[in-house]
Amino acid sequence: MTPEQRLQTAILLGKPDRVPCAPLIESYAGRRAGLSNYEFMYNYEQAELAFVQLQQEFPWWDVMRSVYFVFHGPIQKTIGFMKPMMPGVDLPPDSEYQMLEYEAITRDDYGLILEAGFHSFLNEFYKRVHKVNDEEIAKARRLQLDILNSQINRARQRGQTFLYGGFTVLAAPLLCMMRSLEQFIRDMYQVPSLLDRVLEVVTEALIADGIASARKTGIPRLFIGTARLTCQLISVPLFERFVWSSMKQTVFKLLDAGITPIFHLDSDWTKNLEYFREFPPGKVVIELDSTTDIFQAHRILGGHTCIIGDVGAPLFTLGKPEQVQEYCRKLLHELGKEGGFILGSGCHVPLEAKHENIDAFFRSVEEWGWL
Amino acid sequence: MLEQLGQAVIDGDVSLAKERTQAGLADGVDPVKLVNEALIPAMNKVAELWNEGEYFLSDVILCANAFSGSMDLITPVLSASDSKNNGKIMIGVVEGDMHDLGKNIVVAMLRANGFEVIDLGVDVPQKVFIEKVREEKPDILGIGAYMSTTMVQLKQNIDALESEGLRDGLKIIVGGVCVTEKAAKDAGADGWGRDALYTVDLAKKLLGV
Repeated sequence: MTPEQRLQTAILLGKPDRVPCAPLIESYAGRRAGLSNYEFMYNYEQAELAFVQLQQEFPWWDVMRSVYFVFHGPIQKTIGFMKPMMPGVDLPPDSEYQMLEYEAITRDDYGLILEAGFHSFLNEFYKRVHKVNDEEIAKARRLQLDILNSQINRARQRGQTFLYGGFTVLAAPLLCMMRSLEQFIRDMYQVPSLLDRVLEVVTEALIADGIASARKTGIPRLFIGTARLTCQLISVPLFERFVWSSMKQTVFKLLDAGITPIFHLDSDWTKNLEYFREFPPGKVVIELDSTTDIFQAHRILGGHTCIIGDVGAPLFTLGKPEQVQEYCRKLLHELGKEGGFILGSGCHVPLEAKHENIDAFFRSVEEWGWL
Repeated sequence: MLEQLGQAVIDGDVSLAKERTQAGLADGVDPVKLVNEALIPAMNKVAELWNEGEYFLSDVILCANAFSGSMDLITPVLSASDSKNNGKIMIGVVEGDMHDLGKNIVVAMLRANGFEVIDLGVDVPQKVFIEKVREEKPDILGIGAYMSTTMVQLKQNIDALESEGLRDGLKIIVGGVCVTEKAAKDAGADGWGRDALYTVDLAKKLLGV
């Protein structure tokens, strides 16, 4: 099977010849290639060389699962949804980038979204948070699309397939990041009807952007960020009203457009997993970050939803190679053998991952990934 | 009146809690009574609801806000001897780590439970932890790390405090999203702050209050 056939088979819940291997490797590739994280995040060409080097070392890495096109330094600093602290600019050159959480928008801005629309508001948001002008915003948008297209082409040239045809975030988590968690929580309790209206407008705009992005790249799959607002943090009624309703709307509109939603489920979704059964089988993918119990997820969603996951950052940084291999073996045997599973890292592979643990991760695919 | 104030905190209604606190103070209610018979029992109830799974973190954040809003009005009229003090806790997030959400919730909950909290903020260099511990002599030092890359500093900070002769008599709690119980133990901490409310119980246990 080609990597794309393998990937599509897994998404459709079938059994490929081998479990696809899709770690979310970004900065670690740069570290392994001897780059500082500043060099990696700010120099796309060098980043690509780092990806090439890593893939040559581990040819079983067949699915390029990357959001570099979103987090590339100059892009994040211009059209990021939060204010970033970047290595070599705001932080030491070899550190991970981080996001600053503060009340970047106020409740009054909800009025602006309703009056002027989300895209118009977003431009104002970029200007306010990143101190940029219209020209710089337009340039960053072009650069983002150029890098995404280039990432797709180069991955294909080295024999990989590329997972995402675009990137978006669900409306509620997006506003939560912009408002700050604390303020957004207040909004859910204090101005729920206003929030409903704003979320409706933002959801429509984000769906349209996501569809446009996937159509431009020709890859009918979309990364959807969904951090924070799970039942780990909010009650079921809040989740259903402010998150689930827009999640459902997003999924069905994307499916109508022939696009597969890939939900990047940061934090603990264990209590929310049943909801995914409301979607048609084999049409949605979820990525788990090792906080959700992936084995419970498999019990609930096995044979219904393709799962990507979930070797976590602590295991990569603090674990021993034999622990990484044992965990991967368990994933490949318990989830992989039935199909509908893609081996991946839980969120990003951390910069500080031990090299021998990365070796162990890839070796496990060769050893136990064949079906 | 005390019951109504407590209920405003339990409901997480910041404006109402402030309004009722102001009304109580204007009516000449003893501020100590407002704290001990309304606000603290209310936060204990919040903790109970959290432990029962009735309240979620979002509810706790709102309640802590309501509590803090009331305390901001009461604190200026409390004399030093009136304030209940379960102990002095210093808290900070390690150098290079900008995550303050979890730490802020812990701070609010500790304050709500009668601890004096010195908040060093985020991105705290090792030398600042050392200087501040020497200067303030807290009963407990809480160190947060929220990234796998910054977690290593937990042990480095604890070792540095030991080398400086500041570890004796100082209890250290560590926490953060990546920090496990084992990681806390390996770092040489006295306790693992699993979550904000657990940290409050742990602090009480460590100080015997």
